[in-house]
Formats: sequence, structure tokens, C-alpha cells
Amino acid sequence: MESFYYVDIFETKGIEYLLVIGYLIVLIFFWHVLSKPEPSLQRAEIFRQIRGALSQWFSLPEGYYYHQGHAWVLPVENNLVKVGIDDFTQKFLGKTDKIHLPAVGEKVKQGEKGWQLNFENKNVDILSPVSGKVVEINNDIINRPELLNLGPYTDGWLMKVKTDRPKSVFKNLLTGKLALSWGENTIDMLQEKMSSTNELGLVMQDGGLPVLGFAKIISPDKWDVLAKEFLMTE
Amino acid sequence: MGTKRKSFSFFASEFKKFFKFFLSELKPKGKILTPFNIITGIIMLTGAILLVIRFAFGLGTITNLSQDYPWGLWIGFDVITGVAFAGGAYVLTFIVYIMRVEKYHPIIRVTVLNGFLAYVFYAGALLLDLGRPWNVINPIIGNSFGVSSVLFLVAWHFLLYMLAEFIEFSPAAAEWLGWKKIRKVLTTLTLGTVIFGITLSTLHQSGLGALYLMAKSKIHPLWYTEFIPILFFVSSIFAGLSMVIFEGSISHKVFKHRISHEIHKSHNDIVIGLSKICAGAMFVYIFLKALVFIHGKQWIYLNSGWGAWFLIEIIVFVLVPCFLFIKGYQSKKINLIKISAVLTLVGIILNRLNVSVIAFKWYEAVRYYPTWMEIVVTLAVISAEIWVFRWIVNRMPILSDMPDWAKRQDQLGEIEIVTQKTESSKWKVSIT
Amino acid sequence: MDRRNFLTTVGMAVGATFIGGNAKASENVEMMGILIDTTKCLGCRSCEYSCAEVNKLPEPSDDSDELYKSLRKTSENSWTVVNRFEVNGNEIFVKEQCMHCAQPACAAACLTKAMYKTKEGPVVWDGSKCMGCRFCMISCPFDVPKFEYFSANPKISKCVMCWERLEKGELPACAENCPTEAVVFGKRSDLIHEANRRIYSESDSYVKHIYGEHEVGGTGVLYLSSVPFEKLKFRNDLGNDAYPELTKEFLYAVPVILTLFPAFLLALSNSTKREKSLTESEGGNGH
Repeated sequence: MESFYYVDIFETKGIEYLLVIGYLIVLIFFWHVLSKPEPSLQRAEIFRQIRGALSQWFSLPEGYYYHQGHAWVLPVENNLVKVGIDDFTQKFLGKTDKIHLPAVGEKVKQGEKGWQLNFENKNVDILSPVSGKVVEINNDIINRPELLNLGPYTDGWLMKVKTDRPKSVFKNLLTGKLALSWGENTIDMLQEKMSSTNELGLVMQDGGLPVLGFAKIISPDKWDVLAKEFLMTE
Repeated sequence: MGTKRKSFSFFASEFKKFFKFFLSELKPKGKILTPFNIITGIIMLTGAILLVIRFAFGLGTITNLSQDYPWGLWIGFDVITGVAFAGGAYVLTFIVYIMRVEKYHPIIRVTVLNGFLAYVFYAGALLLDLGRPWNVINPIIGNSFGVSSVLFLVAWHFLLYMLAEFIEFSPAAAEWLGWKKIRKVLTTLTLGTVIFGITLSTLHQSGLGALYLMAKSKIHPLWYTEFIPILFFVSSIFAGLSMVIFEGSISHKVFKHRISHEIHKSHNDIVIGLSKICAGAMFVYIFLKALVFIHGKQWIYLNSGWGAWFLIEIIVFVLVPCFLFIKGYQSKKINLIKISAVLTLVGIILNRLNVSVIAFKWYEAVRYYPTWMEIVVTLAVISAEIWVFRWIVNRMPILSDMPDWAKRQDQLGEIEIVTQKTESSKWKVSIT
Repeated sequence: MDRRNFLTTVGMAVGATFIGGNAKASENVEMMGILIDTTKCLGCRSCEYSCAEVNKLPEPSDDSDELYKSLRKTSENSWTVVNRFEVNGNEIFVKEQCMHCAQPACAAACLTKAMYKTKEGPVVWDGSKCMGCRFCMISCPFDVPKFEYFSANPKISKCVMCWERLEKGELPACAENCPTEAVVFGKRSDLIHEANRRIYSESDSYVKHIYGEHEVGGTGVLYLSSVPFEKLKFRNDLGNDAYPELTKEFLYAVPVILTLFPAFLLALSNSTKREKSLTESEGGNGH
């Protein structure tokens, strides 16, 4: 090194650091741009069609509160609520033979088994969405279980419950936007299940309307295990 | 919901509420006059008095620093060793947030807290060592950036890293204060600060070693090498994790009343997993040392007192603990792992002190050793850090469970992320 | 004009260019230096006195005999010292002070630019910025900077080649007052020429080495000696690389790591994220 003139070997360091700081800020934006999901060819196209079909098919009306076990709660007055199962479940499981509801005066607990639906040779439990005391059950549905499929949110209501701690009960229920997110999530789960069992053809042929009780179609002999997964009763 | 514009009086009343709450929380929980409190209290009081003397009359009054030994215990131990011990934070955040190994998730908060406090107190101890601490502002506010200096880099990284760790730790504070929206915002920042923190840590752990690159003529050839930065960086990995194991076992007993079920259940598994990682890092370190050994032709120095000391440091305090970690991992003996962690910690102290103090100016007749006053001040800093740590752990959800609203925030956040990943075509709702 | 006058004139002429302080603006300012010829030093220590007087330091002790009994180092109150060596029955005196390196380790080490190298040569300390971190002391291969350990507002003390006098067009105090002109101030290139001239014209009197010509990348202060420099306790193991070069690789790597690591870590976190969400949707409810 020429030692008759002073040379600063770190002259540009300051500017370099400024450049790095600028780079890091830009990196954040760059990463956001890159991580927007890109459709991956055919698979995405197929799912788009299924999703289009499914999204018109699975309803979650406003004003209802949903439990992750796919039961709904409708406040009636004070601490009194109506309870039932949602649209997804009745389509997923199909027509039930018999419904076993708890007796009036019995206590139910949120997140624990509430009642049971009987199908031919298999039983499916549904989790209770609320904690409290059963004050009334829908007698119509005991005699005509098909009401469950005809009007899951209206005529197909199952029972009226008097909740003991309303605030804490509603904390664990989904409504509005959260319910929609949860619904999308359920559809995602379905998609995964359907793709893994290769039943895409069936769905598309119909023009998008899967058959009632399609759980049995996805998995003919183990559909109750599949149900347990979705209804969170395992 | 509510008006967007909040009036000044609203903020003022909120601040007053927070201030009152904070003051009430300052009251100690539990017994005040425990032996630990008394001893550390006396140490801190003595330390404070000593520091008053030091600031009034100069560094030489309470230290053995001299023109030949400008840096002593405070830099060599508090700053350089202390920061190596805080390395657990960046390693664990890498494992949990980048590699997403959920196994270590339960202890991430306490490790980040420890890392944050370590930097605050030990880099703070650096301020005690400065001749003119008020001028520390100069390289920060841009009055004069000495960009050619490694210390400039280290100082800036310390500052930025403290900020990053604070942000990583802040969701716990937000949960303690019940600030839900703020907590949500803070958790979105987590990934960014973790990445930033890991990068910064890499640079300043090696930077602390780079500080001594220009002391080529002063450090014994067995410890001086151009690769000091890399050796410091690799050793900080197992130094930090050993400290996590060590502090974890102490916290487990002392804070039994706060430990959540999750941490308690997974503690042993975590310790065993950490011992595996430590053993791996030590294995790499030993071979790096061998590489450096050959590169620097250091075998000619082995036949001396210094050579023996060098071998003791490597064999007894790196090779043996590595072996013990492996054995502990295989046989799942927690106690073996704990012993090994202690040995590792001693080894790191030795290594850092060797480079900074013991093998520094090894040829001088008069050597440096710390005065009792320096030791007391060091212990006072450590005591203060433990007191703050205890205060925080006893109040905030660090070892204990998160409040439920926080857990749900996280769960719903995950669902949102999962649903956002699919295409932009919005899901339609049919309303009956 | 003989050698003595020549050098003094050159020195004064260059010094005169400092008046007005324009020297800093010019790019091609040549470094100034000091040549210390130990064969000419009588050990009178008038350099010590004049240094103390000019820099307002305490007056050094009179008792040279007592002082010469042991080897002294510079301190916060004496920026230059003369040491006596006995080699082969001869008395040799060596003046020690800051070497004013071409690439100073202390200036590279200073994180607030309190210690800086002027283009003209002297390495100067600016008290208004110094934090007292003492990193310059760690880095200096010659252990030159000295710290005031017993002051509440401590300074770093070392020879600054009478920087303020140079700006006024005067010579450094030690060079001006040396009775035998053992200490000479001038352009470093001129001093090297002069030193070589002396070595080769009076080859019996000198060891064929100018200490400081190449050591640590070249220093502003150069030494000539009649005996090997190790005998005068000069370190010969410092190498010819400038000291800041030792940290160069590390500091050059920093922006690179700041660029690579965040990108790499982002990529890594993205890839582990995708795996997780897939396994989640296959398994149960995402949480």
C-alpha cells in the first residue's frame, strides 16, 4: 500500500450500510409480492370448479352461532337458546333413521356429547354447542327425522336449552366473518379428503351438486370415522 | 365500533390507569426477607456505592485496569461472556419460528425474555465501563459514525437486537396488561423480528470475537487466529443452549408455582433435545478448532504451560461435555445433561476470559486480575437482572399459560392464514 | 546548502502550507513524518520538556540518572519519553511516542471518530466525541494511547505531532528543540530518502533498516539505529500489514451477511410453512 498518501479503506462503509437498510425494507415488500399464492396448474382449476359448486351449497345463515362440532345456537330470549345441527352436517350424513335427544331437565355441557343420530348400522354423536339445562325438545323431529334435512335451521331445530353462563358459552362460538372462515376451512378439509379418495369425477358429473349423505360416498364403510373427524367427536 | 378519533383526555386517562396499575405491581409478591433477597440486596447496595465512587473519581479507583490492560472483568466477563450466554434466544427462535419444530415452543418465551434481559443488563454493564458514558450518544445519533470500527457494529447491533427481542417478548406484556389489539399487531411482527434477530446475532456474536482481531500482537498465538469471529459464533450456539438448560432447571424449581402444565410436561423432553443440539454444535466446534490449529501451525506452542492450559480448556470443558451430552441424550439421564451444561458454561467463561484477559498480554510481567470491587459490581448486575426476571415471571405469562383470549387470537389467526392461501375468488354465502 | 539547512527549510516550507488550513481540501496531500536518528540522540531530554511545555503537561523530572535506570513508557502526562539502552558497551538513547501510522489501528478502532488520521499525517484525538471505551488502546500494536483512570472526565492522551502548531505553520516542539537534530520533521517521502542516504553513505554507522518504513503498513515516525532494533526493544513481530486490514474481511462480510441471511431465512420459513398447512388440512381442524 502506498504509504505516502492517506487512503481510507473503509470509506464506502457508511453508504453500504444505508444501502443494506434500504434493501431490508424493500425485501419486506418483495416477499409479500412473491408469497401471494400462485395457482398451480390443473389442480387449482379443478378445485376452483368444485369450490364454485360447493360454495353455493353449504349455507351458514347470519344471526346463528356455530360450534366447531357443526351444531348451531340461536338465542331466543334471556338465557334461552335454540339448538340444532347445521346444513353441512345434514348433507354430509344424509337422512337419519332415529334421533336420540337428552330428556327435558337433563344437563348438557359445551364441547361434550350432546345427542346421537342413528343410521342403519352406525351411530354418530354430535357435540353440544352450549352448556345448560334442556327445557324443551322438538317432538316433531322425533317422529319425522327427515325434518332435519328439509330445514336444518328452521323446522329441524332439536331442543331449547337454558344456558347457565351465557357470556362464557358464546365466547367459544363462531359467528359472522369468523364463521365464514371456519366454513372455508371445512371446505378445504373436504377437498383434501376428496382428492385423496379420487372422487372428483363424481362431483363434477353432477354439475356440482353432490349427493345427500356424501360421507358414505367418500368412504363407504368408514364414513362414521370420517364423520367423527369433521364433527370433532373422536 | 366506536369512534376512530380518540381524544387526548382519553389517552391521558388510559395512561394514568396503566401507571397506577404498574405502580401497584411493583409491590413484591411473596416473602421479602429470604436469604437470597438479603444477600443480593447487600451486593446490589455495595455495588451502587462503588459505582458512585467510580463515576466521581474515575475507573482506576475501583478496578485494576491499567494502561496495559484497558479491558478487564467487566468487558471480558459481563459483556463478552454474558452475551455468549444469551445466544439461546437466537438459536431457539430459529428452531421454533423458522424451522417450526413445535417441540421447543413451551420455553421460547422464557428464553427470549432471558435473552432480552441479558442484553439490557450486560450491554448496560458496558456503559459502566465507559470513560465518558454520556458520549455514547455520538455513534448512535449520527454525530459521528466510526464505520471502520468493529465496536461500532457491535454497539449498533446490540441496540437493534434489544429492540427486536423486546418486540418478540412484548406479546407477553400485552397479555399481562390486557391490550388485545396491540398484542395482535405485535404477533404479526414476530417473524420479521425473529429473522432480523438471528441475522443480528450472527453478526454480533462473531463481532465480539472480531474486536480482538487487531490485538494480534497481544494475544497468545494459541488463542489468536483470524477465525476468532467464527469460533465465537459457533460456541455461542452451545453456550446459549447450555444456559437455557441451566436456567431452566433452576427456574423449574424456583418458579414451580408459575409453571404451566405444558412446560412441566415437556421439560425433560426439551432438555434431552437441547442436549442433542449442543452435542452437535460442539462436535462442529471441535473440528473447527482443529482446522484453526493446523492453519495457524499452533502445535509448536503446545509444549508449555500455555499449551497445557489450552488443552485443558478444549478437552475438559468442550470434549468431555460433548461426550456427556451424547451419553445423556442416549440414556435420557437429565442429571448427566445438567452436569454437562455446567461444564460447558465454565468452558465458555474460560474461553472468553482467555481471549480477553488471561492470554491477553501474556508476556507481561505484571498481569491483570480483578479487584473484589469489580467482582461485586459484576455480581450486582447479575443480581439486578435476576430480580427483574423474577418480577416479570411472577406477573406475566412467561412460564404460565397464556390467557384464553390470547390463545384464541392465535388459533383464529392460523385459520385466517390457511384460508388466505387459496385463490382470491371469494367464498359466497347463501343466506336463507 | 548543507543537509541540515535543507531539511529545516523543507520542513518550514511545508509547515507554511498549513497556514490557512487549505491542506485538508486537496486530495494529494503528502503525509508528513518524523525521522528519529538514535545515533544522534544525546539523551538530553529537551524533547520531553518542550513537549510538556507546549501541551501543558506537568514538567518532567530533572533527575535523568534516576529515570534512566529503568525503561519508561509514555503515560497520560508524558507523551514522549527517552529511554537509555546499553548495547555492546555503548549508550543508545531512544525517543518513544506515537508512531502516527499510515493506517492507524486506533483510528480504525474508534467508533465515534474521536481518534482520526489527518491527511497530513498526525493521528489526532478529539475529546468532544470520545466515549472512553478504550478500544483504541486494545488495538494499538505499540500500546500508545493512555487513559486517565483517575478522572471523572477521562481523556485519552498521546502525542498528536503538535497538530495545532502545524496548523499555524510551526514545527512540532520536539523537532524544533532537538539540539542535535536527531528528531527531524518533514514529508515522509523526503525523510525516507534522507534515511536511505544516511544508511548507504555512512554504512558502518547504521543497521540497514528503517524501522517504520514498512512495519504495520508504514508509520509516520521512522527510526534509524546503529544496532539491531530488537536490542532497543522494538517489536519485530508486528508484520508489514496495516492493522485495519486485519478486520477488513470481517467488516466487508457484514453487509453481505445482512443481505443473504434475511433472504435465506425468509425462504426457509416459507418452505416450512407450506408443509405445515398441508398437513393441517389433511389432519384435523387447523389450529
